[in-house]
Amino acid sequence: MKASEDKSWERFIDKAMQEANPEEPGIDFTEKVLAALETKREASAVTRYKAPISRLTWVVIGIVFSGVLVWASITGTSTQWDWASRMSSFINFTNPLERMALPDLEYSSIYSIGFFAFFVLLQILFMKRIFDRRLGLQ
Amino acid sequence: MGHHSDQHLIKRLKEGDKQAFITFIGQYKHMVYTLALRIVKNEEDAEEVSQDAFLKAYQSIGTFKGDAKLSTWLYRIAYHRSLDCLKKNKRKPSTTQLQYEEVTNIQIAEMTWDHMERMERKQIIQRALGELPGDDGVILSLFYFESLSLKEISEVLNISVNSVKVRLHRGRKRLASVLEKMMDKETISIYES
Repeated sequence: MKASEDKSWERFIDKAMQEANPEEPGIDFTEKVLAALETKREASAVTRYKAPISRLTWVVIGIVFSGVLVWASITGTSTQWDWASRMSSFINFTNPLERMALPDLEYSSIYSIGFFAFFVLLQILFMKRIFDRRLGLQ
Repeated sequence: MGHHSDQHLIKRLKEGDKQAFITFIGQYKHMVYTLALRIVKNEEDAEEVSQDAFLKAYQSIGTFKGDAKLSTWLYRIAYHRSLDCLKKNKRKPSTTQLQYEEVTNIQIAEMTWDHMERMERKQIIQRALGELPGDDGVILSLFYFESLSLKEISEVLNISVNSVKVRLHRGRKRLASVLEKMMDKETISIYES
């Protein structure tokens, strides 16, 4: 009984679907695709920004810097900087920053300047992403 | 579309022939749009997804090895682009359990169906397909409109043949239930007017 009922509605759906058609996209669909293709081509022709320091170089710099830090923390202060002491007899090492007159700022001011600089940097990154998207570079 | 003409079209598309691309769009735009619409359930998004699918297909035709039919390959792109669109809009594919009852009045339904005008019947079935949740509408469209085999549908959706079989059965049943309800409404509205 159940099987014959199943068959009946399956037949009904087969019959109903014979009369249906796929949906119609807009009349200018093909033109829109071709225009989008053209826009993509133009966007890819725009010179892409190339960072002066490549990602690989940054990775190498990072590894070297971390290596130096690790090495310094392992060897500690006992390292004898022979070459440095020998050099000091020829060159007079002075810290140029000592002569610089730094403004006397309160901690709160230093924090606000720091935060301001941080948000400016953050904004640059966001703006770059927005413009990349607008130009179709992403 | 025949395998031979498919090969010819693929060759021309790989050469970057613009006319071939126009032919390609003309041949498959209805089905690609139908699949997108069944998933994103919004005409504007469906058109955008379809355009995107054609652009993607044109750009990556060089990687098409020909181990599947050109249409199956294109539908797979369209299907995944539609899911991406849902993800981008932070929507999930509609999986709400459609409250469907056992189709009992099949004979009455068939009789009402026969008495309805052809155009009216077409509109009803399009609306009913649009109401189906999840992949049901996609599977039914591929099976009935494109006459794809269960294996080909499984390749488009990346699921097993058995799952396609189960979902096709479930989809038919749900469609029958939705149609039955809609026809009741339509019949009532005829008597009310």
